[in-house]
Amino acid sequence: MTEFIYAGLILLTLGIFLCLRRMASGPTAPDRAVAIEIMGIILVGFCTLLSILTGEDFYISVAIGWALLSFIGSLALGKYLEGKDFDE
Amino acid sequence: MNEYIGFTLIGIGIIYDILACLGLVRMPDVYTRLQAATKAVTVGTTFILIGAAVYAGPGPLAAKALICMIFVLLTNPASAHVIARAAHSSGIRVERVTADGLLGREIESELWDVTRRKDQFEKDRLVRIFETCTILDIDEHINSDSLFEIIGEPIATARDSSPREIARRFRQREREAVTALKPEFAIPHIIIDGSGGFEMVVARGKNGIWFSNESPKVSSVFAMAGTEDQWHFYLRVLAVIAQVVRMEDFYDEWHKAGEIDDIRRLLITRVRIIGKNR
Repeated sequence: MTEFIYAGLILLTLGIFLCLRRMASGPTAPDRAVAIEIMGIILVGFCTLLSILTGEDFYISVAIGWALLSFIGSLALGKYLEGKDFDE
Repeated sequence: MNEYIGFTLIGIGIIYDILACLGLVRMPDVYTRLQAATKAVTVGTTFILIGAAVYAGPGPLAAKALICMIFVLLTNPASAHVIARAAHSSGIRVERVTADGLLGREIESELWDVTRRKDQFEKDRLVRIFETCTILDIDEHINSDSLFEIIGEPIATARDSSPREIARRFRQREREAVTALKPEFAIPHIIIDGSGGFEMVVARGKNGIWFSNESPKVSSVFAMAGTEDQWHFYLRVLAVIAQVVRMEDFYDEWHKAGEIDDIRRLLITRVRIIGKNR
């Protein structure tokens, strides 16, 4: 069944490249913010597949950390784009 | 058996993720990208995590996967909302109303066309009102009641109603509040029945028209009769008239004008000047 996992990893890598494309070309800053967020969440799925492939559960810890950072990053980016201070 | 269920769930999740990325690349503006990508990716990654938990069976991996799943489900919509609000408040507009490619025009240019056409239409109509209105030149010193009898005539022919009724309404309006706003200028106006109608009669009183003791010699009267749905247009005409009569040399020219056509020409040039300044 490892072929299935490899296929999934390749497909998700493809998705990440699509996100990178949007990140490079996105005409406005919110476009890039969306692309970063989507890429973060897809990387969570990627890490999950890696942990199944290797049988090591620390990859999912990496995924949790990544999701957390991506969430906080999105909040910060949103506030920054709104042009407000962080305490509002 | 768990293996197959797990892989099926993972497969569904991967399909959702790929579709989300395609939406991210293909959609026309930031809002549609958000709506295509964030929801699908939330579902997709949730499915992958559930699949992993089912595949691994009870153990630390499944527990971590479920924690991660709850976390993703809670945080992802929130951050999508934050980005959407940021995009909205930083002034990014929707690209187009329909994304079917047949229209092929941006909403901005569509809306601009519509508003410009409407503006042009209203401006044309404003000038046309002054071009077609009846202009009366009154030599005697009369009072407002007899002026309304004279004014009732052209309005009644234009609206298919009786002159006496029109005059009665003007008199009633005048009793409620004097319409002479300044010693030299009065704007009697009434609401008439029907819809889509607006009539104006301009009268010049060479020797003045008596409206009240405060304004016994009114020299310019702009009488308007509009149906109720023309309220907005009435206000625009009123604004233009107010600007015209406030021009410095207007009343010199007004009294100097000889024929009725001269009065009309004076009014139309002044209205055009105001239209240009806007």
